[in-house]
Amino acid sequence: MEYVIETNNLTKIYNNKIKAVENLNLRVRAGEIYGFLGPNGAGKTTTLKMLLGLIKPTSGSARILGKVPGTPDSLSLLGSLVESPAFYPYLSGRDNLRVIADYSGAPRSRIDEVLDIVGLKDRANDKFKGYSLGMKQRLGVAATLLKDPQILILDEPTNGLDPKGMAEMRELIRNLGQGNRTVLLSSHLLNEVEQICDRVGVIQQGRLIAEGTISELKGSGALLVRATPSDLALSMLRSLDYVEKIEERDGALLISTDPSMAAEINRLLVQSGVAVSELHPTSQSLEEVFLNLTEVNEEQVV
Amino acid sequence: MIGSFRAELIKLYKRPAIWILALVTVVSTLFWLLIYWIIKITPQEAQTTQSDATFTQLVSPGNTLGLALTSISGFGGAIALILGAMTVGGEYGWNTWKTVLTQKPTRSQVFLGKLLGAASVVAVYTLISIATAYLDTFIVMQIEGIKADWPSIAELIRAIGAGLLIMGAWTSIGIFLATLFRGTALAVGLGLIYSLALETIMQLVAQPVSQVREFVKILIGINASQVSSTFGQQLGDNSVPGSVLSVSTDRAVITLILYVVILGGLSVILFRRQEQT
Repeated sequence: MEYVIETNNLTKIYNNKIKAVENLNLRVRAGEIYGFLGPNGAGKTTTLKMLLGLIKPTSGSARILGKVPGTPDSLSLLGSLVESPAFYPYLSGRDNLRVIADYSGAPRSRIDEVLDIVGLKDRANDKFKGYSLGMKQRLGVAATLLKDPQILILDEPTNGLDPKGMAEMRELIRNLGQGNRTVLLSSHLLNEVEQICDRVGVIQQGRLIAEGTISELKGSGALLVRATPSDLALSMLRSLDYVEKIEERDGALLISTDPSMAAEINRLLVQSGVAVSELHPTSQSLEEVFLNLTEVNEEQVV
Repeated sequence: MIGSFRAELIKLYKRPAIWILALVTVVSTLFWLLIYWIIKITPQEAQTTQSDATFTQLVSPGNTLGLALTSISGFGGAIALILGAMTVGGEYGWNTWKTVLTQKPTRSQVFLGKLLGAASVVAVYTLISIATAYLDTFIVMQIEGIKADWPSIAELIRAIGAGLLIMGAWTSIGIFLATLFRGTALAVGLGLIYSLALETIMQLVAQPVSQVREFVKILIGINASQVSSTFGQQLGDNSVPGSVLSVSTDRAVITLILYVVILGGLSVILFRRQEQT
C-alpha cells in the first residue's frame, strides 16, 4: 500500500538530551482522516514540524508522497496549520491571504473561494489583530486551502474555541476530508478524534504506542457483570483462564474476555450460587483506551 | 523568488512602522532647516562663529546633496538599521516564519525576497531624504532671496547610489542582528549601541591610539562619512584629507559593498540553518 505520509524511525532529540520524538513509524493512507492523538508534550507538534521541514530530524526519515519534507515538491502538496495560526496582525484577513497566495504560487482568484469555505467573507477586510480566536483559526484553515492541497496537516485546530466554534471546525474538517484529500489531525481531545477520524495513532513521550481504527483501539473484548454476592462472583471469574483482566466499575465487574463467552460465564456464575442481575458485552470509551494505554506506557517508562 | 518579493512588498507597503520611519526620514532632513532658523534668529554677537558657519554652509544653496548625504549617513543609518531589524525580526515576533516556510519557496528564495523588499524601502527612503534636502535648499533660497544652481543629473544619480550604499550597509546590520537574535528588540538595541556609542568611542580612541586605527577604518561610520564627504559640506567630518582616520573613497565604497554582501550572505546562511521550533 502506498502511504501519503510515511516516517521511518523518525527521531528528534533537542540539545542532545530531550527526546521529543523517538523512532516514530507513522503510516497515513491516502484519503483518510488520521488522528494523531497524544497528551500535551507527547511530541505531536515536533513530528508535524518535521513533516513540514520546519525542524530537522536527528535521525530517521520522513516522506510526503515520496518527497522529502520541506522541499518545494512536498510543500506544494501540503496545506498546514501548526500550533496557533500565525499571520501579520496589521494586515486584513484578505491581505494575509494575498501574501500567502504570492508565496505559494496559488492564484489570487482562490482567495474569495476559500474565504467562503471557512465562512469569513464578511470579515475579510478587517485586521487580523481584531479577529476572535475562532476567526483566526478559520483564517488559518483558509490559508491551508489556497493551494487546494492533497494533504492537510492540522495541529489542534479547535484549541481555544468555544463549543460552537469547535463543532463548526469539526464539521469543516470532516467536509475537507471528503473525497481524495488526506487529513492528518493532531489533537489531545479524544471526543474530537472519535468524531472525525478514520484511524488513530497514539503517541506518548515521543513513541507511537498504538495505531488502528477507533473500533480496533476500543476493542470489543469486555463483559460487564453485575452479580451478588460480588466476592463469590469475583473469585469464580478469577478461576477462569479465558478471563484476562477484571476491574470493578460502579459496583459491577468489567471483565476482559471474548464476548461470545457470555452465556458460558452466566451458566458458571449461576451454578456457583451467584445471582446475575446484569451481563452484557461492553466496549471501552476512547478515553478509557487512551488512559489505559498512556498509564501502561508510563509504568513501562518508570 | 518573484512571489516571495511580491509578498514582501505587500507586507512592507501596508506596515504602519514603515511609513513612520519614512516620516522620521523627512523630519530628520528638515531638522537642518530648524538649526538654520535658530542660527538665523540668534543675534549676531551671540553666535559662535566656527560652528554656525558650518551649519550655514551645510544648508546653503549649492550644498543640496551634501545636506542629503549628511542626513543619510547620520540619521539615515539609524533609520536603516531599525528598518532591517524590523523587517526580519517581525517574522520571529509574530511567529509567521512557520506560515511562510510551509508554503512553496525554499528558505533562500524567501529570504532573498525579503532582502529585495528591504532594498526597495531603502531606495524609497534615500529618495525621500534627497527630495527633502531639495525642499530645505528651496526654502533657504526663498528666505535668503538668492538663486543657486541645482545639482546636475549625474551628481544626483551618484548621490542616490551613495545613499543606497550607506543605508544598505546599515540595513544589513539590522537584518543580520535580527536573524541572529531571532527578534527585533535585541537587534535594534545592540545595533543602536554599535552605531551611536561604539563607533563614536572607537573613533575617539583611534585618534591617539594608532593600534586601533586600522580596525576603526573598517567600521561603517567612517566609510559612510567618506562616501558622503564627496558631495560637499558635511557635519562632523572625520575623514577629511590628512586626518589619521581618513580612508580613500574607493576603499570606502568597497567596504560598504562588502558589508551588504557579507552580512546579507551570512543572514541567508544562518536563516537556512535555523529550526523553527
